[in-house]
Amino acid sequence: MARNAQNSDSIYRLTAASDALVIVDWDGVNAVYQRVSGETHVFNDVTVSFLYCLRAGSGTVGTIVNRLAAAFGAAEEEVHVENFVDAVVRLEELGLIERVDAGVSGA
Amino acid sequence: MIVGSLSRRAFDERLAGTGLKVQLGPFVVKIRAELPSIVSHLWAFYREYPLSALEAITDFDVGVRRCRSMRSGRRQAQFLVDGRPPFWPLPAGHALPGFEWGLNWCVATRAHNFLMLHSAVVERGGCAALFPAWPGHGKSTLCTGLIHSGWRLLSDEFGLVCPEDGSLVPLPRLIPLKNESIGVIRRFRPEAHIGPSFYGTRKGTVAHVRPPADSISRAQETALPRWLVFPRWVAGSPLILEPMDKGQAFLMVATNAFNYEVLGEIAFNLVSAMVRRCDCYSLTYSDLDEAIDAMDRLSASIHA
Repeated sequence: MARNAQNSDSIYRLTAASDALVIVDWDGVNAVYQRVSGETHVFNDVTVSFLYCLRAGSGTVGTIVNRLAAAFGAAEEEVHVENFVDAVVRLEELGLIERVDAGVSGA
Repeated sequence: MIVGSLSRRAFDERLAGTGLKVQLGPFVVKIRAELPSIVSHLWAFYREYPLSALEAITDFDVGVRRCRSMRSGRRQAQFLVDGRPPFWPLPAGHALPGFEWGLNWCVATRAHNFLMLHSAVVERGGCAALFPAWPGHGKSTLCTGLIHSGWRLLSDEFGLVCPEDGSLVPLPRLIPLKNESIGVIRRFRPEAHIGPSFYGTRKGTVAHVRPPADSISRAQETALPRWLVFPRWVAGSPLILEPMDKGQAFLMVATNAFNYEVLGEIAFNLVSAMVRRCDCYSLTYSDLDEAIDAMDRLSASIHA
């Protein structure tokens, strides 16, 4: 199920659980406290960046990756969607992001 | 007024009667005991500790009761909390280690007004060093060496972190040395007050060190964390003191706490703040003198 994140048509958005995160960055190792579950997670920069970019609105993985590229001043061809698949899977497992119908996209 | 200001007779009568109320760091502990073996040990080890007022609210009501094994008929010592036994009894000769372990259990399971790290804590010049470690990593040996070399003991077992300001609250209790470390400390500081060895306990041979009187009398002086040092004793190893990434230090401290999940976000914020303000190191050592020199250099570097 989790690998369905590779479906480029899936549109993701943040869940309510992601509004209540405390994130501390230790030079690329991000300690993330999830208030809803009371759990502490460790995310790399890619995963945290993905979350931040979703705050601008829901979108496909490709859309979000393009936003990331823009935010970091990188050319779109330099950023590869497949590098974000594991992050998407993990965030979905933790209930921090969810898929929505294409019709409700806020992108 | 300290325990040692009581006559031995008054001391024995309190233990056998209404209980001896002792101030152990932030906790008032009421102790009852009747076994002659543990009473004499308590007299030897606890005489420097302050007596609590009789009307003070008791945090832990503990005791050691004598009993006999139903099977063998051998004499045993039963640790009690609030008059009830949380564990199986131990051989009567192991009453003191059993009492100390029982008191650890009381703190670890009840003192959730603090973030509790499994860590030794020492202080010098107002700056505290924490040694979070797993059993067998040489934490107690290093801690004992340091407190007999100019550092003040806050705790050998519990890094008690105050949620209000992140300061470390002293709990200077007996230090249980185990196995080879007993001989190491006897040779290192022959003048240290080390009690008898208890053989064949569940943790091997155990002998207790009484904290220096200065550490006990200053048990109300908190200290702010300055260093996080993760020690590891490795036979024959040269001294290796290496900076540690703060992300790794955060994970090691968070996973080392007794009650991180209980305190939730408070614990997350306390650990984050501690790691932020501390220099973090891993320390591998085999020679106690070298390890103490390394800690002295760290201390000197900020007080120069």
